[in-house]
Amino acid sequence: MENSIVFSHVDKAYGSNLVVEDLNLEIKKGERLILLGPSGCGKTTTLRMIAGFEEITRGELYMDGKVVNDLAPGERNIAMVFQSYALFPHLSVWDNITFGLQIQKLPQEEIIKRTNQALEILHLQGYENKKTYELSGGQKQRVALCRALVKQSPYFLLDEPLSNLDAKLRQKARTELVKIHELFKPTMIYVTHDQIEAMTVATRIAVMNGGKIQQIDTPHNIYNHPANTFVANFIGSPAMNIVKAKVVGNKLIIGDSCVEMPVDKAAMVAGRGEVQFGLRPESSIPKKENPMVKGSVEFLENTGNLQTVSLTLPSGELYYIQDSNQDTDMENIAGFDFDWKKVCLFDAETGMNLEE
Amino acid sequence: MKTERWKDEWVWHVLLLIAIFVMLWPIVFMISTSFKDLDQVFESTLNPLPFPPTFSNYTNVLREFPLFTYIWNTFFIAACVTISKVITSVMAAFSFVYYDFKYKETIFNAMLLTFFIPVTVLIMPNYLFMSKLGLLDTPYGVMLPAFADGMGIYLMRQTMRGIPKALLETSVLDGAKPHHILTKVVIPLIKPAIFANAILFFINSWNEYFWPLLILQSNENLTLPLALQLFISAEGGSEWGVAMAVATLTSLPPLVLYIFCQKFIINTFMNSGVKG
Amino acid sequence: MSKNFKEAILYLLPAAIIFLVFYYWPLFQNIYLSFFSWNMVSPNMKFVGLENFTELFASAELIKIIINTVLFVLFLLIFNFVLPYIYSFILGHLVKKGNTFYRASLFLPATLSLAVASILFLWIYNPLAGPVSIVLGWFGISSPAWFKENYLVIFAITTIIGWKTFGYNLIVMLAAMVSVPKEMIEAAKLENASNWVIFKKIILPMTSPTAIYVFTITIVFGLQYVLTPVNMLTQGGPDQGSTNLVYIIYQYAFTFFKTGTAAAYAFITMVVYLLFLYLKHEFLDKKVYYEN
Repeated sequence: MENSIVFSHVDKAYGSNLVVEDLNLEIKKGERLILLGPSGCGKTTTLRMIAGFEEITRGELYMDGKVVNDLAPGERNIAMVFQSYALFPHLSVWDNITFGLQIQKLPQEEIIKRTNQALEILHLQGYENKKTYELSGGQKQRVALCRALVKQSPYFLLDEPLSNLDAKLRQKARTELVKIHELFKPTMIYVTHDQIEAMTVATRIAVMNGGKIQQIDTPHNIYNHPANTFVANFIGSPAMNIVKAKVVGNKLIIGDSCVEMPVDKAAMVAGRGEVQFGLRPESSIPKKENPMVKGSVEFLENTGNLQTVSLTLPSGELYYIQDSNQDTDMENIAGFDFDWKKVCLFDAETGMNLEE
Repeated sequence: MKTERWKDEWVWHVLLLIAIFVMLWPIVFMISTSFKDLDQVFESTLNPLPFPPTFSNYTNVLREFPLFTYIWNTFFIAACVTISKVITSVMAAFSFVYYDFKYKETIFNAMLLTFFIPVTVLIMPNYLFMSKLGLLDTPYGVMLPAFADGMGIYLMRQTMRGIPKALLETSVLDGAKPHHILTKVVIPLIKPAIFANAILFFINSWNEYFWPLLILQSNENLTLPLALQLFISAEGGSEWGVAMAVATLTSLPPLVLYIFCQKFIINTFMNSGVKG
Repeated sequence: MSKNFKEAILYLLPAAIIFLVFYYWPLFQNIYLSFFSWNMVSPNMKFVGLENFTELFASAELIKIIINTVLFVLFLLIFNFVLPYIYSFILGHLVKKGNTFYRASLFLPATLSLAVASILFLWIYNPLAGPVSIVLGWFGISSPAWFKENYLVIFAITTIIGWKTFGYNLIVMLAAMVSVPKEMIEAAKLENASNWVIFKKIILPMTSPTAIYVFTITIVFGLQYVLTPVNMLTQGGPDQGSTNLVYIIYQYAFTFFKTGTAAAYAFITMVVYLLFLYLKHEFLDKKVYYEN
């Protein structure tokens, strides 16, 4: 229980508008948990409940084994990095970083020691006396990180910390962030809408939608075994293909193609008339002749490293195939093959993965 | 291109210059009259450059009236009023921005409403109250009701609302208490607005006429705007040079403040988004 | 953010005490005083019920005061609402050069004391030797006694207020004018819209919230600004020709020493003000096309 965060049946409502519903979540000590979801899914509200900025309408929030629903934000010993960085424009870099420590009245030597260490880790030496408006976006982001770091809090909250950086810097900052976390191992909760960030930074991802957690798992499992069609759709670009499929005995009819299922999949769909067939674009193997599933080429996009082709299945559904081999003649394919191990099957109505 | 633009615009420039003439000429006239002797006042009334200029109006007025006492009285009141208005406005605005409580909007509106209450509605009860407190004919009687300002609270609140919420939240997470946040975050961030408001409070108090008129009675307690009154009745309308000299002296501090902080003052108005 | 009610009140307290003691308590005390006949010094206050009000409503003076007040308001609206409105449009959208200079110069009189303005204009309007009389003399017109004639006195006094307040209202209006997106005006110009059409179709609706504010302060504060020149130059004269709803309270309290009537007038004036602010809120604010 030490340094863990537990949500137990937590609701958050603004008036009659429920933004977070029956949230049950256990964040383990030292892990990097990412809250991922589209805007308005309740991920930021969840983070702000941990910080104490949002009151909890119902349920309990435990930190370190104690209920903290009514604990003031300042007493939760939390470090947080804001999307806007929230640097004080009237203070120098040094004063920004030491702001909290000065208020806590830590001994001066301790403040200096911690700050110098953090400055070194983030390569900010020499910037101590600059005003924050003299810094570039990347430097500001590092100062914000530095300020959170010197607190040496057991909890580290980040609210879209990289969304104001350009693509190149973001990649660098991501790696840096993971390294820093490995150094101190605080319990880290990180909010983002960027799936790449989530996949690369997280030890576990909690995908949220409509105020509810859709799935909590490792990045690998989230990608390969999405719990439902929402997660399957949200992760990956282009998203996982999800098309209707009729079940006839141990065969699936996709478009007008009939494919035989292996025993385990057949057992999964037993007793159902229709399911949703899910397969990632890169797991679909383009085929010129006799493909397992037929479709006609609609459009081809070549981004240099990848060829993406959109097929129209006879049912009218759109289907994407991705191939990293530049030599494949994608324009003239007749459909695709696939490996059943890569296939996800979802309930036709609820969209739940049928795996379990 | 340039000449064409001028063709389009010259009408507007003429209209603006007329307005500027109407606005500035009285001030020029006031200052130039204050340097005219009695003959020049009546013989070259419209001449803006009196020759030879005379300082006799100023020396006369300084000899016959305790002008420095008036200046000090006016300054003392204006300074105290300014300081306390700044303090009460910043505190109240902080409360409205930082805290959430019941009837917040109602209380705020009630405070703002005071700004609209006509002064004469209040003077009689307040006069009676001051007389009970024994503050008649003292600067404190003038100041006391002016220690808070509805508009000041409104403007300060407006400015504080512009501070990004994350700045306050990050301070809260660092364990900052409200007084830390006020003194270490909010006030440093809105210093320019506070300063601009202070200038306005000062100028307004310096120029105040009606309430001091009731409270201050004895000659040595008067403020400059009140002293001006002496020159209307006492001089019977002939000593215009002297009257204009006092008017010029009264106007000097606001004018100087305005000229040095002009951008500041105008920007405060333009950015505060004063709306009903 | 924080819900600590006690702390919140603590920060409000200094201002709240001042407002309660010097603004809200007097309102109630006025009501109390309006039921008595008193002269402010005598130890005996005589309870007269509503007599102060009935007397006041029966007097011819009230009609004169109302006419004067309406005249003051009309002139004030011209000098301090209509003119600043037009000039702010010119300054904000019709001229490209010299903006800062115009702005700064036009604002200058706003920093001066009304007492200064009053004495200055007393000399400017002096019918025998003042600058205005000299200029009128060039055209063979003899100057009227500006502060000694009915109605004319109201006009003369509002020009003083107009001079002093024009710049402030201009700046407030200008803030709204420049916040109208330039693209909107440029788009209209591409359609060959005249300045008048731009003013009517874009500026007017987009700046209406601020215009209502300026309209309100012109009336609410204008009538108070009037106090200084009236008291310095005319004391309400000639023959109550320059008194108004706001000044009459002062006259009854401190010139005629009739606290009951003064309090009754104060009560009525306050009701009129509140009614005005209420009507403004109910009707004007809701007709605004564009809020923020």
